[in-house]
Amino acid sequence: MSDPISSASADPDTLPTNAEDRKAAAALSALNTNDIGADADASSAAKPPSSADQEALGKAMSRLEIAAGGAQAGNRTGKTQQKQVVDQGAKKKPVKVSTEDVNLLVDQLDLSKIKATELLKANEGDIKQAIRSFIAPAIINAS
Amino acid sequence: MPQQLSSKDSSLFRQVVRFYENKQYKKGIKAAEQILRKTPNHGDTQAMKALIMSNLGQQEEAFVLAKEALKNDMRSHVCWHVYGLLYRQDKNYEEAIKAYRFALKIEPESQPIQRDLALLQMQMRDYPGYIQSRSAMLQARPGIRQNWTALAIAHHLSGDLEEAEKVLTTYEETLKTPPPLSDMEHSEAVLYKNTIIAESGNLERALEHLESVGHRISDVLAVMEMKADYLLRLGRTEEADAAYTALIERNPENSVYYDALIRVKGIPKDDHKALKAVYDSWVDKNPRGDAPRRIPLDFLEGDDFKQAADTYLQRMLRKGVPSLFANIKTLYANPSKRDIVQELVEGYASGNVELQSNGSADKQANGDNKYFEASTYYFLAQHYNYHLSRDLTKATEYVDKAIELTPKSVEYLMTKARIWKHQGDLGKAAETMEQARLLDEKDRYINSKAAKYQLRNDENDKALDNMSKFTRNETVGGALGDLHEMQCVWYLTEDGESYLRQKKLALALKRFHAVYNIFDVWQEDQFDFHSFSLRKGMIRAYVDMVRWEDRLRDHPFYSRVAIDAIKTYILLHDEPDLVHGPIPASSLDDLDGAERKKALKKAKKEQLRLEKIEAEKREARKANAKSADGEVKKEDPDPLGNKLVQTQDPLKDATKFLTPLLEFNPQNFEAQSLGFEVYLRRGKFVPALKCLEAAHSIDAANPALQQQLARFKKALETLPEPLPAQVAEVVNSELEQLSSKLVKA
Repeated sequence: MSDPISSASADPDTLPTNAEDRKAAAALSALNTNDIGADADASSAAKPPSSADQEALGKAMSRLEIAAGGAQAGNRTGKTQQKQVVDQGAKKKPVKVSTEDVNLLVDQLDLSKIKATELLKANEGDIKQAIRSFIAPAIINAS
Repeated sequence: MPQQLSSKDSSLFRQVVRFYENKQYKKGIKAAEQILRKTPNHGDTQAMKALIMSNLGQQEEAFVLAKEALKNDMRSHVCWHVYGLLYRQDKNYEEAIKAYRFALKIEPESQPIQRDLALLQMQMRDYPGYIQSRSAMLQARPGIRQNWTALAIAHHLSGDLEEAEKVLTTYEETLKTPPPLSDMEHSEAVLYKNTIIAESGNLERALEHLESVGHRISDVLAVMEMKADYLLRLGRTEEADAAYTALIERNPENSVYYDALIRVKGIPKDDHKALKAVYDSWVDKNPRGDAPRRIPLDFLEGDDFKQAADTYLQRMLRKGVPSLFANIKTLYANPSKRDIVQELVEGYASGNVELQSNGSADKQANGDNKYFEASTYYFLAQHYNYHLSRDLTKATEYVDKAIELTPKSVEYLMTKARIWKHQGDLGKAAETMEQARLLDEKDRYINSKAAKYQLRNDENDKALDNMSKFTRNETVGGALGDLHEMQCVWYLTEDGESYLRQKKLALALKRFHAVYNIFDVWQEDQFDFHSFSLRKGMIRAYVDMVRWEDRLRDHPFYSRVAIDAIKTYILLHDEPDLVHGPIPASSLDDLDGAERKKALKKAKKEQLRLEKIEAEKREARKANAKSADGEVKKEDPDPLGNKLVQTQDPLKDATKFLTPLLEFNPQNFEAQSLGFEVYLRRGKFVPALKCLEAAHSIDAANPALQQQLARFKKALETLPEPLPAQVAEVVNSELEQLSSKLVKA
C-alpha cells in the first residue's frame, strides 16, 4: 500500500471505492461549503424549487437524459473524442506515430510533446508534410 | 492499510475540519497534531494539516506532507482532494484536475469535489469534461436554476448551440407560473437564450422569440438593440427604420445607430444630399448634439465639405471645446480635407470670420468669443504638430500665441510639451509637461502625463516621485509597489523601456516581467467568475468575458511589452557583459580592450552599490512592517531584477514572451521579425523560417527580409552538424521558394 506515488496520474481504475472514509467525506463535504457551497445553498434557500414544480423537474430531467444520452456516452470517452475533433479532416482510424519522429519535431520545431504528436497525427505521420504544414498556417492566415 | 481513529479522535478530526472552515488555522494545526501524536500515519489528518499549512503560506511543507498523507492512505478522497487543492493554489491546473478526478472516482457523490473539478475544467476550457461535470451536478440538484444555466453555457461554449437552447427551454417548461419581473436571473437567462438562437443564424426565430418575451425583460436597451439588429439583418426595412429611430431618440450620440439607420433607408453612399438631409433632421430635433453634426464631415466632399466643416469648426471653437482637434484629425487621412481644414482655421486666425447665419443656438455663444481666438491658435498648434500636417515651427508659433492669451491653460502647455517631444528635445518636453502639471496639481491626468514625459527623458526617480502623489505609499514597496498592485501597465512599460534605453537590463526585465505577470493575473481572475456570474445570473456578460479571456494576449499592451522583453533578451544574448549593468557603447565596440574591462569593472561596482542600498532599505522596512501590523507581508526577493538578468539562457526566456505574441498577433511584422532573430540564434531553423515567411506575407517589400534571408542561409551553411535529412529537405525547398519570391520583389 505504501507504493511511492510519482504523480497524481497513476491509473485511477486500480483504486476501488473506500467505504471507510464516509465520515471524512461528510467532513470534507462540509469543508468547502463556506466558500462556494454556502452560496449555492443560500440561493436555493432564497429561491425554493417551488417555483419549479418538482414533478415537472423530474420529467424534464428524464427528457434531458434521453436526449443527452448519446452525447454523454461520447463524453465518457472524453479524451479520445477530443482528439477526433482535432483531426476531423483526417481519417478516423488512429494514426501511429513513432516516438523518434515526435522527438525530432520537439527538437527541431520547438514544440511541446503533445503539440508535436498532434501535428504529426494530423499529417498522418508524414514528417515532411508535418513540417510543411507547420510553416504554412501563418501564411494562409495572413493572406 | 489506512489507520483507524478512535471515536474520540474522529470527533477531534471533525473539529480540525471545523477549525479550517472558520479559518482558525492555528487551532486547527494544534488539533491535527494532537491526533497525529497518537496515530502518526493517519492520512486524512495529515492532509487536513497540509491544507491548513498551505493557507498559512507554507506551500512547500504542505506539499511534502500531503504527499506523505497520500502514501499513507491512497484510497482516501480527502487526501486526493487536498492534493488537488494544493496544486490549484500552485496554479498547476492540469495536475489539480487529475487529483480531483481521482478523488471523485473514490467518492462520486461528493458535491464539493465535483464543483471544484468543474470550475477547473472551465478555467482550462476542457469543454467535454465540463459538460460531463455540469450534467452530474444538475442530476444531483435539479432544483437549482443555475445548474441548468451552467449546463447550457457548457454546451454553448463547446459549440453545441442546439443542445444549449434545449437545456434552457427544458428548464423554462418546468416553471408553473412565470417568475416575477424583478427576477433578474430569469430575465437574463431568457435573453441569453435569445442570443444563442441568434448565434445559430436563425434570425426569424430569434426575432419571434424576442417579441414574445421582450416586454418582460429588464435590460430594455439590449432588447431594443437586438430587435433592431435582427430586423435590419432580415431586411424588414420599415420596422427596422422605426426601431433605429427609437434608439437614436434614446441616445442621439451613438454613431452605430446612425450607420444602421442609413443602411435601413437604403441611401447609396454617394448620395451626399440625401445622407446629409437625414443627419440634418436629427440636428433639428436635437440641436445640442454632436454626432449628427460631426458624422456628415466623414462623407461630404469639396465645397459641401468646406461649408459643413466651417459651420462645425466655428461652433466648436466658439465654445472652446478642447477635444475638437482629436475629433477632427481622423479626417486628415484624406489630404484634401486636411487642406480645407487648415485653410479655414488659418482664415479664422487671421480674422476672416464670416458671421454664421446659423440658428439661434449659436447666438448665445456670442458672449464666449474670448475663447474663440485662443481655441483657434490651440487648434492650429495641434494641427501643425500632427504627423499628417506637421510644421513644428508654425506649431510653436501658434501654441505660444495661445499660451499668451490664456497662460493658465494646462492643455496649451501640454501641447507645447508635445511639440518639444516631436522636435526631439525630450528634456525640454519633460520640463514643459512638469510646468503644465504645476498648473493643476490635483489633476491625475496631467500628473501621469508629466511622469510619462520624465520617463521618456529617463528620469525614472523624478517620474516615480510624481506618481507617488496619487498612489497609496504605505503599500509594501512604496509607490512602485502600489503601481504594481494597481496594475498600472502603462507606467511599468514606460519605466522598463526607459531602463532598456539606459541598458539597465535587469530593471528593464523586472518591469517587463511585471506586466507579463499582470496578464497572468487577468487570466487567473476569471476563475472567481465561473461561479460568481452564475450566482448573480449575469451570464451574457460572463460569456463575453470568457471569450475576451480567450484572446487576452492579443491586447496591444501585451505585444508592446513582449516585443520590448524579447529585444532585451536578444541584446543580453549578444552582449552578455550587460548583465552587470550599463556599459557605454563605445567601450562595447572595443573588444577585449582595456577600456571595456574598465567599464565592466565600474558597472559591477555600481551594481554592488545598488544592491547594498536595496538591502538596507529592506532591513529598514522589515523593522517598520512588523510594528505596523502583526502580519509580515510578502517581500519581493529580487527587486532589482538581478536574478532575471543572470539567466542561463536568455533566448529561452525570450521564447516565453514570444510564443503568445506569435499566436495572438501573427500579423505584426516586428513580432515575426523578432521571432526570426530568437529562433535563428537558438538554431531552430524551421520556426525561424516560419517567421520569415510570415513576415514576408505581411510586408514583402520590407528591406529587413533580404538581410535576414542572407543570414539564414549563412547560418545554415556554417552549421557544424547538418540538419536531419528530412528537415533539411523541407527547409531547402521552402527556402528556395521564398528566395525566388524575394528576388522577384
